[in-house]
Amino acid sequence: MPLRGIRTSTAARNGAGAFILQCKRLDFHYCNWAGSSKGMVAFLEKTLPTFARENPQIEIRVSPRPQKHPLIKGLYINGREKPVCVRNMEPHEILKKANLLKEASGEKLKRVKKPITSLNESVRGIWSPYHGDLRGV
Amino acid sequence: MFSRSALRSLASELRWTAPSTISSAAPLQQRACLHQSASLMNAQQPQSQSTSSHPESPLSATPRAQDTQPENVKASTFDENTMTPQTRAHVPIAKQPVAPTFTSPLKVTKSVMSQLPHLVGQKPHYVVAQLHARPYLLTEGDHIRLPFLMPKVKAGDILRFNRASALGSRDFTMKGSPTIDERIYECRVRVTGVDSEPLRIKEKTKRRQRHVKQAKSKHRYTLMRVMDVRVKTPDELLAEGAVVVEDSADSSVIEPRS
Amino acid sequence: MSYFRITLIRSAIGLPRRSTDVLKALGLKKRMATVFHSVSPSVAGQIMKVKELVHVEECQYRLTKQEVHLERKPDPGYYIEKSCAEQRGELGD
Repeated sequence: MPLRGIRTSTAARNGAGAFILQCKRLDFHYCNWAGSSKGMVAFLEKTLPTFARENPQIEIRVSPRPQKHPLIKGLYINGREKPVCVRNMEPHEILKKANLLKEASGEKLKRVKKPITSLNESVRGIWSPYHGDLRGV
Repeated sequence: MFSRSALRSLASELRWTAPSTISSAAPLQQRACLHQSASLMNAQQPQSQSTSSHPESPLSATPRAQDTQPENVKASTFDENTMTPQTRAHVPIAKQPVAPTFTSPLKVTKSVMSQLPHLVGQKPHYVVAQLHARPYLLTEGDHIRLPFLMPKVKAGDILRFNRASALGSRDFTMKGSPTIDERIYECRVRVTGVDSEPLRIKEKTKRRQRHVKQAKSKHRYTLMRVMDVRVKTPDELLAEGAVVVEDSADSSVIEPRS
Repeated sequence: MSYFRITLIRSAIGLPRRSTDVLKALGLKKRMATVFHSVSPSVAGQIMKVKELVHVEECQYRLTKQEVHLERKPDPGYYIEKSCAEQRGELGD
């Protein structure tokens, strides 16, 4: 029996109907001893509860990582992850980084020239020289 | 630009009526009106806005491109009805992304009303939406990566695009002049997030110097997904209070494919 | 009271010193800059001197810089119909 690829019946178009945020988990790592984690510890105490409440769809994990710089790691639905080092940052800067990871699509960064990518066929069809009216030159 | 003779006659006229400048105001005003009517429609629209603070002006009768009266949003320090815009922060609400409220009913011409069922019946549709006067050809389910970061939107927000220059199906196209009235169609998009480009490093050099400066840039872009592109049926339009009017030169038209 | 609305269309680079000076006197420093001057013989004479470089209109009011800018500013073409917080509120009900 020949090997067949799995056929996809539908193309993923997140947001066209229902919308699921691509970021599924945020890991916050900190160190209790190191000075570079000072801002991170303040962020975890002050800002993180409200951030977590505003974003119930994101799983949030906080774990210590001793002797290392503080880190936020975002995990995405497509299986990729994005780590951001937040050493020596103030709490409001860390909140910005957390928001960045939250809104990111999880894709590898690419330089895209065209603003629109479409899976649909062309609405007006492909132009053909053999069809339609003849036009005077 | 003025011709030499026109300027000279103007100057001489002024010289005669130099003591009483009021008497020369009447012909000048007329001339200004003529200039205004000759200038483009694009230039006319802001004129009418700016003259809102001067009600006696002869230009205040010019209609706005779309008679939308925006609802009162958050109380800002700038009141466009009483103040003239002075700084960059003073932007009238018509030029801000605010949901419009309509004062006059939608006017649809007879020809559009008769052709509209053909356009509505033929799916799928496309729309040429104008964002900041840039066209984007959209169909349902398309993924958009705007060439800029849209301010004050979050992932999950639903936006409406309300300036479209064209709207069509396979065989019919509705063309706006310059835009189609936003009550004829619905184009919704959902903000899905923010993307970034890879860090670009441009090496800046100066002559006769060894130092090389590195200019870094990493722009961010808003991602969107088109939720629906829908044209309303004539019945829906009439139910919403649309008025059928006679055809005029500057109204939208539906053209079949040639 | 009427005003000249003067826009510099072409630069005075390569022209005699007098043209540059007239533009400076009118307050036109760069291309596409717009200034307003009340209609008077002296201003008409200045425009005459640089008539090949500028576009002149008559208008009734002196517009501010921001008003001139707003004439060119296009509509954004979008508005937020429903924010994600509102949608979440609907789901909660």
